[in-house]
Amino acid sequence: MKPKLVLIGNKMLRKVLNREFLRKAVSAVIGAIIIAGVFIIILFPLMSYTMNAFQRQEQMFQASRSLEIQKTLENIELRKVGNILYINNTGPIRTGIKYLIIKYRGDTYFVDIYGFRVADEQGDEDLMYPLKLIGQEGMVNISTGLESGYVILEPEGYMKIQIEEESVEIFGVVTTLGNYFPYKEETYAEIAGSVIVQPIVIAGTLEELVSRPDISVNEEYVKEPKEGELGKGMRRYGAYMILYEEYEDVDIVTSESDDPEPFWFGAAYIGLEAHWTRTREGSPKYTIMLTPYRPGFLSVIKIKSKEGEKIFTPDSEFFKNGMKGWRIVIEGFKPEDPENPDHLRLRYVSESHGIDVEATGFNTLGIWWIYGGRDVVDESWIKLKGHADKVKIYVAKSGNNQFSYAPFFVSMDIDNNGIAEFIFMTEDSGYGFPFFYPVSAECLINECGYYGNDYVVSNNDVYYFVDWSVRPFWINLTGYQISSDDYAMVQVAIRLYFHDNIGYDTDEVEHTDRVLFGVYLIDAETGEIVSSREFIYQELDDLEDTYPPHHSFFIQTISLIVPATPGKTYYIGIAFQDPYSNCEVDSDLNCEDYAYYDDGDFITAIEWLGVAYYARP
Amino acid sequence: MLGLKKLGKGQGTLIATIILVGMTIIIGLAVLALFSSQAAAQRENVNKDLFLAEQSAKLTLYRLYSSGNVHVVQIARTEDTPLKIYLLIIGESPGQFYLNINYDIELAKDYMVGMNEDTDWELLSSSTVATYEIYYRDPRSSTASYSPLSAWGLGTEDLYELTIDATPKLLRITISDMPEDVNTLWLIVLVKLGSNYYSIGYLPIYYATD
Repeated sequence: MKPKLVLIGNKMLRKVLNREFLRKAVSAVIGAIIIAGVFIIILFPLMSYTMNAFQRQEQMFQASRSLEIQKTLENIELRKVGNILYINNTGPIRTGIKYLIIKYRGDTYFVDIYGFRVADEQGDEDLMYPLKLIGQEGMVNISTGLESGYVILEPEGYMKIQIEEESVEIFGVVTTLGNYFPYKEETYAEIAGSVIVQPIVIAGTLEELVSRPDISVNEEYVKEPKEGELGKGMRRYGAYMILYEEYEDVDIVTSESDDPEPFWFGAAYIGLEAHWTRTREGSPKYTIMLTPYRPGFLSVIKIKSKEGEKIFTPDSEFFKNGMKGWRIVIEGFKPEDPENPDHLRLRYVSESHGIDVEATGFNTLGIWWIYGGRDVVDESWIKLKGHADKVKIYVAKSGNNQFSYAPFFVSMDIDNNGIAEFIFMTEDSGYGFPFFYPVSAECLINECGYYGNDYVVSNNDVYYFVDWSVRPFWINLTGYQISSDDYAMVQVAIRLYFHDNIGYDTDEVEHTDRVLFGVYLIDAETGEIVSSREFIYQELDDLEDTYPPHHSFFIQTISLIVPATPGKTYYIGIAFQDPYSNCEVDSDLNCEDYAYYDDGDFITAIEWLGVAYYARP
Repeated sequence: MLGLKKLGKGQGTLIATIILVGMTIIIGLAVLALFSSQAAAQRENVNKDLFLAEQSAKLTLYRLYSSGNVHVVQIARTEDTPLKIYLLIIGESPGQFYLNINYDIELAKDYMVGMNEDTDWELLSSSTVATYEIYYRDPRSSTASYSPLSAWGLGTEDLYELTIDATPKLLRITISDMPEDVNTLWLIVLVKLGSNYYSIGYLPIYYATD
């Protein structure tokens, strides 16, 4: 008879429990628990140990891999001018140097660079004869004993060594990681004695730019603009920009939920993060900058930080309560799942120009201008989900204040060549064009009617994102001193690209001769410009097309003559500016005489500079 | 009577369960003891391999210069903690190791050292070790296991001693007697574990084509 498992009371329960099959089942369970316990006692430590061992092996592999990557990134250049030897760290990483190999009195000598420090401390000038350290920058002595150690050269750091005996021949240097960089006499060109090319990459964050020992900038021009401390250099029509929110180490998603949804933009600047593109360690990291499409598109961005979760609806939130626009910069964005296309997806459509792009991952790299719905482009958006090292939200607030250049600079590699560009961009959302065309036939430039540049219309409200420079922004390469005694000329090769939002080019620009960008030779003592090459709008205009959007990298070579005045030192300076506003400003920086022409906004991006030094014969 | 009978049956079951549980625990402990002793030996081997692999990953060893029978190498660690190492040179031709090579290993003692300036270098101290205490791996294989050097001949070798850290050290190796058939000379870096010496780094300092 089968047991009835109906619990009616204690008596019945006891009856059921007394059944033979239940007792067996309980014994089996106890036995199973004991046997499983014994196995767990044996297997758990073994498994845990094995996993630990695998982990340590993986760590060692990573350490050894990291060492190999570091080795490939090291780059030391040796150049000799007269009896002066320069050892330059032209690589992107700090590099340890131990031995300089020379030929001296018929023998090969290994010179321990750390000996220069010991000679200096002991006041023993003969210790390192026939070599003498006479200058350095970015050189750090690392002591590992009383009189032993090595030297680290920071990126762009250098040592200047005087060769005190003519018979000394330089063979090369050896780094602490074992890289050997030979001195190559054949790198000298037979022009005016000698030419040495020194590549310089400017890219990095603004904080890095300020802290670089070889570059000097005015901090007032690059500080993040905050209420009461706006900095200097830039203006926006009827508004000023501030850093509204800043987050570090956050998860972001363009949705209120966890599934990314379209986020509408006016322009999307998408590039590889400046450090990642150089090292290529781990999965790709991107830097993304987004500008407004037009108010009314309620796309959102959710930011999850340690402090909590915040959802922004920029297109409505940042166009009210005295706010008149926004810019969002996402640095070091890593898609949560690189295989999931929705974690970095771009849709870009302009029916009137026959453009229809759908891209994911690396294919999203580029600058994508939407132009405020002036074309039929309502299908253009970006979807994001992942982790970001930093998110900065800038908003424009009503007012006529001057503020810093910080919202207009971003560093990213949009052409995936391993070198990030330093980008200055005032372009946001709209391009301009005249009511009549051709302008000259219908009206004069200053009489014609225009749709202004960088403004968008929504529900009969007009929003202006017209920016301009009050003062130019200077990047001074003060770490690369040019002596008038050693050099007769420097030639600066520069790789850059340019774009403007002036739809009809010079047909809507009256003053086409304003300078957007220049390279200068500056007296290190007086700050006076002694030689220069400036690029005006008329010249740069031919290098781009406003729409359909097109920009190309180009390389410009600029020759700057070094004055022959003996004993002078010079350095190279680069200046950017947006010289076109849509109004004439009075002494209080208030707009007067508003106009819709001469109001262009621009993008000027520098990837690298190569400075060639031509020796004075 | 019925109650006592039931109690007796219950006691029997309880005693049987205790015996079964006891036996299971005893068997379990015996199995544990067996596995533990084997696991301990295995763990010791794994620990040794991990230690040697770690030291190997942290070693940087490069030949800087060679001229005739004189070779200069740079050696360092990637982390700044001292490690005592032992250095050995062996010759190689296909399928054969040569141990009977005469050489000196010297350390640079000045900030400027001339390759041929004998006063700039000081001879490292050395100790004599039996070949069965020296374990090496085929330098050309990352998966090869350690085997004693005595496989190529019983005897002794002089191992030069040096302590290294993150500051690179410069060594001059002078070969004074080399068998004719040798087509590669290997500098082998060893560390001592227990009473044996294990290789953690290899550097070819000479090829027949050099």
